[in-house]
Amino acid sequence: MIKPLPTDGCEATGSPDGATGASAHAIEVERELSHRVKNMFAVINAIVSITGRVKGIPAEAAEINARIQALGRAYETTFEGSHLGSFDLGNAIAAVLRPYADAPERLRLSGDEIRVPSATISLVGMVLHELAVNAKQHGAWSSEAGSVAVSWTLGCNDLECDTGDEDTCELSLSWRETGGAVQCEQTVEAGGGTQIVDRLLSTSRGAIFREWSESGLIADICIPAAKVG
Amino acid sequence: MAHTILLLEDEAFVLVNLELAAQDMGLTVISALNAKDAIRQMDELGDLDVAVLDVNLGGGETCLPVVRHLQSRAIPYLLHSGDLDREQEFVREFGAPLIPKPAVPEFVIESALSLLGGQTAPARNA
Repeated sequence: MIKPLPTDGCEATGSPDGATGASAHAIEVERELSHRVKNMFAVINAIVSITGRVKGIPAEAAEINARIQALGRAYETTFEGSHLGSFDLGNAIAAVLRPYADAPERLRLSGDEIRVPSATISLVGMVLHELAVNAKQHGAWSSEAGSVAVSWTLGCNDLECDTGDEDTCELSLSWRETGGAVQCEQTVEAGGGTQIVDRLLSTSRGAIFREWSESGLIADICIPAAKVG
Repeated sequence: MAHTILLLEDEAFVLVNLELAAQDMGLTVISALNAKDAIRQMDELGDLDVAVLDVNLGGGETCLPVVRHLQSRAIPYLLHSGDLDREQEFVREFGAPLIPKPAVPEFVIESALSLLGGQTAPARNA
């Protein structure tokens, strides 16, 4: 039986104490956990894909699988050092987004080193997946040379998000598309991804501001996250 | 002429998913849930072009016996595994291309086919 992992945390800069002190046993457990989770994701993907095929809805199944795979990539970054209970936000963001940019220069990432709980990793991963799919279909990544700049920092800029109490901090994400296709808001609203992002963020007491420019989407997102205990 | 592909994978759902993708691409498929069955089918069939091998097959078994069998016949193969550490050991030892799980099944099959005709398989799934 694997001990439940502590999951509250959100701290800026540096590795927590004990980052280098993982026992050989802990590392072995993490490796086994990682292997099993990846296998389970592969089985879940297969179940969704085969169900989509026998029900005659392969496109819907593929859309669901893309979300599951994005979640899987985000979670993969939490296996190493999972005994610490908090994880580097930037690693997860990079893991989620890299596959969508068909050239490295079309994705620019910058941000503070911020440690967050795994629930925040999955929320951020899902939101960025939807923005990335949108950019592929309608925005900067639908054109030949458009690119996306993503940055993150502690604290909310202009958005109002409800952190509730002092145990919660705010994360800001900035999504800037440049050199993309011209796109109108209506086309984008038609997709289910926008609805999912809005619902996830409102339930999480976060906020999102979107603005379409001629070069693609500009979005500012604020997400509350539990502080490192 | 249709190529024949061997699929070795101990998870039935994942195996079926790979089979369906390979069949969609017009391949002849032989599939196995364990190494022994894979080798038996290879010996019976005698005519195989390429293989996709899961590394860990449960109960401590790996695809190593199948790797040796394929190598003795100079049949190309790729590894499809969630255990990256063990996968790395195999890659270092045998120089086989690898695709980390989870991966889109069509991508896995296409990557295997790219081993035919001397092309290099894509390194990483999207």
